[in-house]
Amino acid sequence: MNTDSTAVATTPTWQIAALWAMVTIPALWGFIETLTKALRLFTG
Amino acid sequence: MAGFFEKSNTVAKPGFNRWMVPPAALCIHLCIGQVYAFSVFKIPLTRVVGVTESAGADWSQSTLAWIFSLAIAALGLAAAFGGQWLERVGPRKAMALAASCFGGGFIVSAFGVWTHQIWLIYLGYGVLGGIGLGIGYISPVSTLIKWFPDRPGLATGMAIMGFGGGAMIGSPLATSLMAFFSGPESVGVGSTFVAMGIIYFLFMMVGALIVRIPAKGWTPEGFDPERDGKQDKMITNHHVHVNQAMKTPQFYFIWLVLFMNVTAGIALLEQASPMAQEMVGTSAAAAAGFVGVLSIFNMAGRFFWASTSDYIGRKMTYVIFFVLGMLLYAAVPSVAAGGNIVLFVLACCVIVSMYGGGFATVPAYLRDIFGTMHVGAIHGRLLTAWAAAGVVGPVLLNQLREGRIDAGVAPAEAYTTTLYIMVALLAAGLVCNLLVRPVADKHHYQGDTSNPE
Repeated sequence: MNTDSTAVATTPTWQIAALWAMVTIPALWGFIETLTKALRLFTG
Repeated sequence: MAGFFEKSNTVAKPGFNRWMVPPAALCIHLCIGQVYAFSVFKIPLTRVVGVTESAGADWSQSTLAWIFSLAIAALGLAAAFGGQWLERVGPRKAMALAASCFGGGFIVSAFGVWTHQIWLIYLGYGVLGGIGLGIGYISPVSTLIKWFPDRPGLATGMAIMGFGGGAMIGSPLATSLMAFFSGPESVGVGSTFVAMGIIYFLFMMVGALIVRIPAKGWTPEGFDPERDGKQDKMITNHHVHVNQAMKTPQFYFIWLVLFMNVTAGIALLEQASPMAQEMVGTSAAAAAGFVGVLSIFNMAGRFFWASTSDYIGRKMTYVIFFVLGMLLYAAVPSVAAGGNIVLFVLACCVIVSMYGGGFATVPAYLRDIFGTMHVGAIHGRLLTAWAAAGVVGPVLLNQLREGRIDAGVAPAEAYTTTLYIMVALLAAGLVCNLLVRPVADKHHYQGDTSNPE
C-alpha cells in the first residue's frame, strides 16, 4: 500500500503551506531576535 | 469527543500527506522548548511583592531555582514512565495531555504568583509543566519515525531542533508580555503566565489535532524496508518490546553514549560565559552574546547532524561526535592560551552543535537497533541519561574547577584539567558506541507488532 504518490493530490497544498508557516514564522522571529541580540552583545 | 482522541481515529486515510506531521510535531516542541528560557522569569519573580526591587517577603533565587529543577525531574520521570502508555494510546491523546499539562501548569503558576504561594508554582510549572514536557518531548518522535522510515534522522532532527528553538521564541515572548502587563504595582508575571499558558495550549492542540499515524503496511514511495535492511546490518527490520530492550546490552551502551555526549556538552554550556571571560578575556556583555551564538549552534546542530546521520549511519555520526569532540576539547586550552578568540568561538560552536546533534540523532539510533514498535517508549527511558548528565556535567566541571583554584591555579588555567577530563569521558563514550551491535534474534518481538501486549 502506498499513499505517498496520491498525497499531494488529496491533501490541499494550502493546508501544508499554512501549517508550515504557522511554525516557521514564530521560529524565524525568535531566531532573528536571538541572533541580533547575540551579535549586538558579542560585537560590543 | 473522547473517540476523536483514540488511537484508531488517528490512522491516516489514503492521500494524507506525511509532510503534515513534522509541523504538527514542531507545534509541540517549539512550545515545550520554552523551558530553557525560564530564566527570564527569575528576576521578576524575586520582585513580585516589592515590584521595583526585592522586598523582605519576596522569594529568593535559591527558592525559585527549584521550579526549573522540578520541571526537569518531572520531565525525566514522565518520559521514562509515560512512554509505554503513549505507545498504547497513540500520539493525539498524548499530545493533548501534554498541551493540557504544560498550558495548565502556567495557569496554576499564575495563581501561585497572585496569591504569592510558591508551592503552587512548584506544582504548576514544576510538576504539571514537567509532565507536559516529558510526554510532549517523546510524543511526536515515534510517529515521525513511522512516517519517515526512509529519513528518520531528518524527521526527528526537525522536531528536536524545535525544542532547541523553543527557547528563542519563549524568551522574547515572555519579555514582551511582561513589558505589556507590568505597571507601577505589578511586574506582570502572573498575567504573562496566563497568556503564555493559553497561547501554548492552543498551539500544542493544533499539533494534537493534525497528527496522524500511518496505516498498517504503509511505506513511502520507493522505500523497500527488506532491501534496505539487507544493505545495512545496523538497521533492523524486527521490533523489540520496551521491557525486552531493557534487557539488552545495546540499550545501556546507547544510554552511556548519550550520557557521555550530553555530560561533555552541558558542562561547556553551563560554563560558557565565565570561560569566555576568563580564558580569552571577553567582556561580560560579549560573553552573553557568545552564549546566544552557542544556542543557535545547539539548535542548528540538531537538524544538521541528525539528517546527516541518514547518509553516514548513526554509529558513524557518534564516532564523529566523540573523535572530533576529543580533538576540540583538547585544543581549546591552547587556542585560548594563544588568545585566538575566533578559533575559540568556532571550537565551542562545533562542540555545542554536536551536543544538540546527540539528542536529535538518538531516536533514529534506537529505531535502527530496536525497530519502530516501541521506539517512543524506549526513547523515553533513555532520556534518564539526559537527566543524569544534567546533574553530573555541571557538578563535575564546577567541583574540578574549584578544586584547582583552591590548589592555587589561576582561574583561566583551572578549566584545562576539566576539559581534559571531558576528553576522557568522550573516549569512554566512543568505546561504548563501538560496542553497539545489532540486537540478538532472541530479543525480537514475535507477536502482532500493530497491537503489542
